[in-house]
Amino acid sequence: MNMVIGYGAILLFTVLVVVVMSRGRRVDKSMSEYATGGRSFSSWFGTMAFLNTWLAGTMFISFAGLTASAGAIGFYSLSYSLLSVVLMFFLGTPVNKWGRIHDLRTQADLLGLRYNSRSVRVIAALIGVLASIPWVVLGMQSLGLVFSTLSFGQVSPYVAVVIGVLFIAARQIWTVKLGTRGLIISDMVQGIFAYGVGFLVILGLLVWLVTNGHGFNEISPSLLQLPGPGSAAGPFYLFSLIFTGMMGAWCWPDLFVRMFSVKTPKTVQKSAVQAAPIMFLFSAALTTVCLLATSIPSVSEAPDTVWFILAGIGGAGMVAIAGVCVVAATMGNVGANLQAVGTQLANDVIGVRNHERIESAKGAKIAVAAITLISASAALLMANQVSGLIVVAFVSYQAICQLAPTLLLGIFWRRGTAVAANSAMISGILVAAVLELMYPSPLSIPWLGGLTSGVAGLIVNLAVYLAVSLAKPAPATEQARVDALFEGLKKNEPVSEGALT
Amino acid sequence: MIDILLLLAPPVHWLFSDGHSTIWYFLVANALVTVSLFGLWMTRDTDEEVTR
Repeated sequence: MNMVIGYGAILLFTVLVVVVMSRGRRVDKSMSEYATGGRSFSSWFGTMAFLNTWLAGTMFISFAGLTASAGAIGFYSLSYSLLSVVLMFFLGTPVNKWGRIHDLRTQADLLGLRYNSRSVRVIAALIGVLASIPWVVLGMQSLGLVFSTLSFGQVSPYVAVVIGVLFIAARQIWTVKLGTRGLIISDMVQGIFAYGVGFLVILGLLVWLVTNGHGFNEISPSLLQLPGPGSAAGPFYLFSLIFTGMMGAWCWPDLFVRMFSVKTPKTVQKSAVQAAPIMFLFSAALTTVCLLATSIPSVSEAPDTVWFILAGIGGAGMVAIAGVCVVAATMGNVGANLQAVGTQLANDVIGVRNHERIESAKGAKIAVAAITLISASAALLMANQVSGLIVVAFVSYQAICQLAPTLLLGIFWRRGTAVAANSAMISGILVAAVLELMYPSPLSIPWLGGLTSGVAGLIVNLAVYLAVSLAKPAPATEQARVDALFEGLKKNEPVSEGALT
Repeated sequence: MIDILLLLAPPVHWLFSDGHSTIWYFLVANALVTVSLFGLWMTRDTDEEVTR
């Protein structure tokens, strides 16, 4: 009976999401409409799309597990998430405005425009695609814990992973069909459940923990220490974690395209302002509840299951709601990743190779479907090797953040050149990859005071970008083109009324 | 800049690296950054766009 409640809750929620998506359906014939949802969404849709893309289901599993096992350092994800929201506020105007004026569809498209370079566009697109796929596979596999828990012992962990992968792959039928428009509409439903209902569950658990002998004074002192001078991880380890997270955030193609999907630059900024308090309340509450739960003996034995152990306090119904929260957050992240990766592959790799600007959405739909099948197959083949994939995912994060100097300096600084961008991205990735292989675990590099490989790569990356840009400036005609791009940001452009307000 | 100093500067991390102050550091610093976004919104350049 408990399994029926658990699996039934997920089925009901999925039906609700699909019905809402289908009711908001429009035929996006062009590639631009398919990739950006017609640039028509209001700030609340922008807020929820950002949150549902950024706060993946693994917040309830791996990040919650990190806090339950390592303690207060788990708050680092809140810090870098909020800093990425601050960055979103400043990126809103150039990204949204260039996107609208120049009909940009992807992050790589924007870089191609800014640097007037096919190689920058292709390299950035390939980094984005290759770094994203391990996270898609992990996202798919993470549902295994949900289906295993909600079976209440009826399904083995391996079979649960298979069910989870098949479930999330089937859900992508609507991602392929409805594109970004469908994703953003579904993000609203999924986000309300994952972070709205999820927050209410967390509040209830907080009250229960504090009133049942699991208050702040019961937390072990060893879990309330941050790495500082003289620590094993190194004095700059926490800085590195937060800095990498902040710099990497907007390098993810799925998150970046959210800034193209809303109506105006002001809408992006308003989305950021609205997202910040939701993110703060939700993440702070979730991390605090996981920290308080460390005084429960079963949590320390299996920290990754802390969310479900706590939900078990409320019985099968509460466990089912907790499971739906994870599924809702995972749906948003996996769907957004697949859609962005597929579109980027079609628009910025295949299109550039064939020397054509793809105008039909058909190519992107085929690419999204293909990436979904490849990711689902990889997830099934590696259903027993989750730990190995986590290492690949960590490496991919160190790689994706190497886009940051090219992306952020390209948007905010006129003098960066294509040669500098290519040299910087490649040198940064090489340095990060070599250091990652040399110091795989823990991530910190002892002789660099605890800096991670990603930050070491970023330092080299930034130095190369600045040195090459200053030593070999762009030709006068190219600099004039870039200046015109930036001057265009100062003009008042009329924008169309969006469909969804 | 203040947001970055609050959340990223290693000396600030070291200052609150032990005991219950770690929790309060993260909660208060992140709450301040959240509030600062409202400040940015209120002081943004409003001469930006025209809706047709």
